[in-house]
Amino acid sequence: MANISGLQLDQASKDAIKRIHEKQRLGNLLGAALSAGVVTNIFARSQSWQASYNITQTDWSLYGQAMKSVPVITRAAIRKEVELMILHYHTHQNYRLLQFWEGVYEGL
Amino acid sequence: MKAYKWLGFCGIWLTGIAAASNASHDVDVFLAQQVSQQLEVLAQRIQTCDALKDNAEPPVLSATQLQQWSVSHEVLVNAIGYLSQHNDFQCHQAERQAAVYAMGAYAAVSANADEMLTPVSHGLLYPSEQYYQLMIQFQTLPQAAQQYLQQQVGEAPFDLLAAIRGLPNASE
Repeated sequence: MANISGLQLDQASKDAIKRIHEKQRLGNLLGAALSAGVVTNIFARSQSWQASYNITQTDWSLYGQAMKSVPVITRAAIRKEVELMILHYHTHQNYRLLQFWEGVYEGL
Repeated sequence: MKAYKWLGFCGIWLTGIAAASNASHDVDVFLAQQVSQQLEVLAQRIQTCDALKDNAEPPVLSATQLQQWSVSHEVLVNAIGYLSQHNDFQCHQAERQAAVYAMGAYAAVSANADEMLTPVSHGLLYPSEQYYQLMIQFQTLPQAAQQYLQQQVGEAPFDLLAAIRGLPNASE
């Protein structure tokens, strides 16, 4: 990707970056929300060693799967946002910002 | 010290969940697992769709064909943008709907899940407002132009950037 120096973001780009940050925050929130089931399970049954062992076999593996899946889903949502910015700057013929968003797209 | 902090964090979590959730513990855990499983399925499908996109040839469009409908370059770019996102959404539509349903089912019985998962599903799993604006703009094209573009791009996901770079300038 080419170097871009002195790039100034316009309002549309700033708004898009805010939306991307929000998607990242939601992705993190999703991980936290799903961990709630695991955490409640461990604390509710921690009196029993066997129950605790069962939790390890089921909940933690599901939790691990969920944690792996969240970044993929978040990245897909962010890519949609970046595509919209590419369309925006292509049609508005702002080639510097188009170059910037194309670089973001290719890095996803 | 770190362990104490972690236990403290978990305690806060539990207190919050117990206070806000009106679902029984077993139901809470079951529905959280359902969401996890559906998200895993969705993530796998997204990766499959991305692989299809990476291997797809960019659509080939004829400037001569497009000239008969007087499609401007701007409208053409947005039409290809719409079709790119449409095909991608279609590729993982069933898995996305299943994930949204699992999240909705959890949210329906747990106030805490509703508070946490509903904004997530809205922000990450549904198409944006701009997507629908592109769709509406696409639908204003002549029917024959819509059909031509849909036929040329097909139904599989394709790479937007490669497609745009290969577009003819229809206004020329």
